[in-house]
Amino acid sequence: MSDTTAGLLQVALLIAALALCYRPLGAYMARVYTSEHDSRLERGLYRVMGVDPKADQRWPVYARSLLAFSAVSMLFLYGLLRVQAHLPWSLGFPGVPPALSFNTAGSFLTNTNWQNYSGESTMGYLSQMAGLAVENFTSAAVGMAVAVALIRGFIRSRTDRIGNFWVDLTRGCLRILLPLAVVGAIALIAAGAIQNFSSGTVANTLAGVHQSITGGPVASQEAIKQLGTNGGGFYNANSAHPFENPNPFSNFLAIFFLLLIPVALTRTFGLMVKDKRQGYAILATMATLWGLILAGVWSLEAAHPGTALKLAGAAMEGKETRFGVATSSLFATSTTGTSTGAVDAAHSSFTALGGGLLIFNMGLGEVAPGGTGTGIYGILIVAIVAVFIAGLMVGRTPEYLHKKITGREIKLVSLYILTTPVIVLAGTGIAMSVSAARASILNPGPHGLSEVLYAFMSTANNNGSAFAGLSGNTNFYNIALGLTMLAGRLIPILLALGLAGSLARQRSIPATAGTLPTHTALFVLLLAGVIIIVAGLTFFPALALGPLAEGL
Amino acid sequence: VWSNCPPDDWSPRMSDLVFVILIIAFFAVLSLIVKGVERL
Repeated sequence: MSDTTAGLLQVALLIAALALCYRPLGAYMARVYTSEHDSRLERGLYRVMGVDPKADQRWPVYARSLLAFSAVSMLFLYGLLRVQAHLPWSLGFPGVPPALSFNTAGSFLTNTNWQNYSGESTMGYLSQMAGLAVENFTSAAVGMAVAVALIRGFIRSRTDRIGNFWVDLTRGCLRILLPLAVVGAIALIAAGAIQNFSSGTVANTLAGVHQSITGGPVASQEAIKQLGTNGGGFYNANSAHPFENPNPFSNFLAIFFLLLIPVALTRTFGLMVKDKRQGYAILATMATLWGLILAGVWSLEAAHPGTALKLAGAAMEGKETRFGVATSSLFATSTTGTSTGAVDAAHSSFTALGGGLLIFNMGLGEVAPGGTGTGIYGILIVAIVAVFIAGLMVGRTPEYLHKKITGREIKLVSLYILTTPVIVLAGTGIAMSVSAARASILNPGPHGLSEVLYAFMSTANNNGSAFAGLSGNTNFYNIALGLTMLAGRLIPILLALGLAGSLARQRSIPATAGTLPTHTALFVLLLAGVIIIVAGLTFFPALALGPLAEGL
Repeated sequence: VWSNCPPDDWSPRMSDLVFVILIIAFFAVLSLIVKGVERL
């Protein structure tokens, strides 16, 4: 079977598997976030935390609860990494250096999972399990909480309450992520991923060198890494490492897991707004963008332009032979479109234009289909822009899901859309003007710019995948990218919550003849067009100097 | 050489203090942004 046929079959199987889970998982998540009932375990946790689960919060209180939780989580993780040498299961590793601890704590807190370290030679098992894996759960649950709060903004009327952050966080972790992660870990173990507490196996290589092969609780971390669209690998090679991702079946599971929740959340959205067609429209937009990027990346990698690649017969540099061009393209498109950041191939080794498309995919704002929670709230915010633009173009009243789009909403949406590009472009510009930052670049010329642009695009959009080549473990990049991740995640979240509060205060208005239907194919095209045009206009100059200059 | 870059030979205790202050300061700024958005 050819690589292309196998790839097409895998895409078809992937879509079928997601379609199978779409309704039940989406409906289950809707029930989780709308249920009045708390389990005994949840009630116990609320008592310990001093939380009244029945008390809904105003949006500023919801936001401050999220910030307080995030600040404490980051300080805890920073401290844990710094003192790991004195804790059990450190494997003899010293404490993680301060700047790297700051970067890593910010990275896992923000669901980015950018890694300026090699997992197998830096992190002990306790740091991996009690620090990084815990953040994988909570950061994903925070993303889903924000998404649900924004949806409540649409469905509630004349209230200043958008839910309870602590309840949303707890339910997301206990009722959604934990059960899925347990099933996912077992599936990955069955597929061949390792799960042990081995302190390392010494192997004698053919060159006569002794090499310590690190084991570890890999499958359990791998499951939530994909399901939570986190992406931080147990090993430096991430999902290209055979212990994390041993074969095409585990690779298929990884792609399925990272798409599962973002896709199903569109069903949750449709059910919560009591109009499933709205969920289908959002899903169709996400699928359109994902399909376009996949077709582009796959075509560029399969065409493998360039003398060396033509002689080799395929663009296989940086790709695993057990996965091939098609599956590597599928993984790369899915991971850059979901803010996951796991990789099963070196993105720096993709063709110049293929790599450029991956950067562009992140530049879309992580909405194809986006991260766990972040994808749905991100695309709903762009949908407001699309409705507003349509209103200006064809004279429709600017309203979305029975809420008027007023000046306040447009201000918040505009700030949301501007925040990430400003961080990306300003960060890249600063890095290119600082000699110590330029010294981290491996390749000269346009590819070098692509390395830096990719780093800031990935961290500001909380993706976390790396282009490879750039030496990130320096004081400059640890601090600059750490701040980029925090700002790129938390400022948009505050604006989204502000928007939720603003929408909830409004009364719901009935649709009229002047209302733009937002469940039609026309709206899907309009929304996809707005996303592509906004990202294209914003990032085209930078992409022209990097991947486009290299590839054309 | 990036002149503002903390030198690598900073004592860990000093660096820890700097980063803890940086984290707390960052979240304090975010809390102010909440107030700013409220007034928008």
